[in-house]
Formats: sequence, C-alpha cells, structure tokens
Amino acid sequence: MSNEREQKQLMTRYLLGELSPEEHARFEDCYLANPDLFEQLAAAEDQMIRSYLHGDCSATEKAVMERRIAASPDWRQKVEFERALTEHVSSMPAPGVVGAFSNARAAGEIPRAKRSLVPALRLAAVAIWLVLVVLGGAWLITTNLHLRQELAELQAEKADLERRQNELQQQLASLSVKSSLTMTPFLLTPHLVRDTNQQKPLVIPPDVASIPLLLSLDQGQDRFAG
Amino acid sequence: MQFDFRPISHMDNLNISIGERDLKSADFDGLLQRLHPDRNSAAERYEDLRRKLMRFFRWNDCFPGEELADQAFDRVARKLGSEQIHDVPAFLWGVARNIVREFRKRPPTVNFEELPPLRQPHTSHAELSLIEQKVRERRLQCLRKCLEQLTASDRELFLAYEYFAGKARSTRQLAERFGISVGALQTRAHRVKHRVEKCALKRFLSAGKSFEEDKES
Repeated sequence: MSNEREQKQLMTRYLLGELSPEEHARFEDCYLANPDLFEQLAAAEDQMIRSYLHGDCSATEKAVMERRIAASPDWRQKVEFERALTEHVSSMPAPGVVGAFSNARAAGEIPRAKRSLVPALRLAAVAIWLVLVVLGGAWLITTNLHLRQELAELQAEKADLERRQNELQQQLASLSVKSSLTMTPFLLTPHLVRDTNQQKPLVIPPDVASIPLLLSLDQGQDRFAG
Repeated sequence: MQFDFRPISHMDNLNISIGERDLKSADFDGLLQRLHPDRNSAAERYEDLRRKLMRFFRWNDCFPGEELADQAFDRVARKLGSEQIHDVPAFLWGVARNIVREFRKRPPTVNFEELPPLRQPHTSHAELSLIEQKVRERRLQCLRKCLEQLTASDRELFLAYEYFAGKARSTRQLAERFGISVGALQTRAHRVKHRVEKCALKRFLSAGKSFEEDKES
C-alpha cells in the first residue's frame, strides 16, 4: 500500500516537473519499460486535468497547469478535450455495469458524473452565504441611516430648545431691568394731540419714587399743550 | 478492423514539416515491417507507440507532440536502412529522448502576456465569454459525433471507464465486468480515448475551417 502511495506521489511529482533530472530520467526508464505503469501515469495525468477543471487541485498543480496551458497548444487541446468529455459524461445516465454504481456509492466513492455536482453544491453554499452577507449588510446600513436621521432630528430639536431658552433668558433679563427702575419717564412727543375730553390713566408703579416729565419742543413752535 | 495507420503528415504527399528530409515510402514500410510482420498488427503497434510518444512529449513540455512523434518515427525509419537495430521500440524511445534534449536547447517562445500591450490580441471580456461558449459547444458536438463512430463495445468500455475515472475500486470492478486486467482495461480505454481525441480535434479544426470559408464567401 505504501509502495502504491509512493508511486502515486512519484507520478504526481513527475507530471508537475518536480523531479530532479536524475529522478526524472530514472522514472522515465521505469515507465518506458513497464506498459502498465505508463497507462497508470496516463490515467494520473487525466485525473490531474479533471481536478484542475473541477477546481479541486492544489495551488501548485493549478499554477503548473496554467503555465502549461499558456505555453503549449497541445496542453490547451488536451484540457479542452477533457472539459468536453467531462461535460458529456456528466450528462449521461449511470453506465450499465452491474453493481458498480451501487458498490461505489456504498464505498463512499462519488462517480465522476456525481463528482461534478460537488462543486455545484459548494457553489450554491457560497451563493447562499453571499446572499446572507448582502442582506445582513443592507439591514445594517438601513438601520444605521435611520439612527443617523433620528440623531440629526434630536440635535435640531435640542438646538431649537437652547435658542428658545436663550430668548426667554433675555426676556427675563430685560424684564428684571425694567422692574428695577425707580424712575418712570413720561414722554410727550411733538405733533401728538392729547384728547382733552377723555382722560387716559397713567398707572404709576408703587416703587416709583419720582416721575420726570420730558417735553420735547420743536423750534419755532409757539403753541403746545401740557 | 482496418486501421488508417499512416499519420496525417505522411499522407500529405509524404511531406514532413520538421524532418530534415522527406521520408521515403519504403523506409516507412520497413519500419512497419519491423514492428510486426502482419500489417494490421503493425499498424496497431504504430498507433499505440505514437499515442505514447505524444503523451511523453507533452509530459516533457515539448510541442507540437504530434509532429515530434512523427519526427521520432522518421529518424528511426531512416536508421533502419543503415544500422542494425534489434529492439525498435527501445531505439524509438532513445530517439524521443534525444528530441526532448534538442527541444530544450531551442530558444524559448514568447507568450501573449509577455508581448508589449499594442501587440497583444485584444478581445473584450463579454466577447471572449461568448466566443468561448460557442467554441465549447462546437467541441462537445464534435466529441459526440466521434463517440457515435465507435463500435458499441469500445463506446461502452470507454464511457464506463470515464464515468468512474480515477476511482481504483470502480476501475477494478469494471475490469472484472469486462473480464480483463486493470492494466488491459486502462490500455484499451486510453487507446479509444486517443482515437476519440484525434477524431474530435480533426472535426473541430475542419469545422473551424469551413466556418472561416463561409465567412469569406
């Protein structure tokens, strides 16, 4: 079993170009002398391409595959052929091999056609996760905006209240100034005719000590009433 | 079953694009004779070696694999007339390894990504995805046509093998089902795959050519 695993590792390293020149030459000697090993290597290559197409390969394998596809039309043709074959095989019903499909399922093996569903399920899970993230994000943004609006309204209300408070304080201050006067001026303005028939009462507050009477007279005017 | 065993480059007026000189028909016949006295068996061996050579060149990042495989055969066929060669396949692999060494000494090719921006081919992403989709559809159609051309037994074996590809247990069960060893199953499946791949590529390229001709007319 460990030999089998070592051989698989060797094949993978050979296909990825990771062997030293000596190891590379030695392994080529082996598979050129052993037709079964050559076919196993061919199967490993096809499997590597399928893993690349399904996105199941390692980062190193992906990088090597992409470099090869970019550099060689042979690799491009091979990968495109495997892609078409995978698509065709995925679309066909299970082959009529007695027991093979059910045994594979019992053994927990996923046949190639079904394996193509695994990335689809992963994709669906990622899509659902993305939708949830987007919806959650949208809810947070809306709530945040709503709270900001409420805060702005409260701040405006507060400013209004402060302004009103200032006005009231000013009014109160002016009233207290007025009430502190002990002298009430009584102004007689020119051009105003005071009605003689009807007397208007002048209310003098109780704390007023004196009432000066101011009489403004225009120049050249010889007649006035008091 | 009759094989069309001669490679495309040999059928086109015996012109070989990479070979130093044209290969004579007699040299090629001599090569086939050395592979097997029976012409059909020889053709089968020739096709099998060619398939392996193409894989070998791909694994060594040498391309175009098909032309290099033809070049290897040409060199061996020429040597057969002048030298005593006991094991032709072993000699062929020696030649193939020499071709790999020669290929590695060649100056590297330039990738699109390495070209200055003005010389890079430009296609928008939207156009590219549309083109890719069409190309994939056409490839799939070509593949299906080629699968239809297989014999029923080859098609059944190949598609069953591909369906459970990469799973050792299923491959063993398939081999039991077909009454052959795992190695024989793999060899048969890979041979059929090589034929289908070659057929699909040929169809795909000729479909592209007729599409270009339609556009021009």
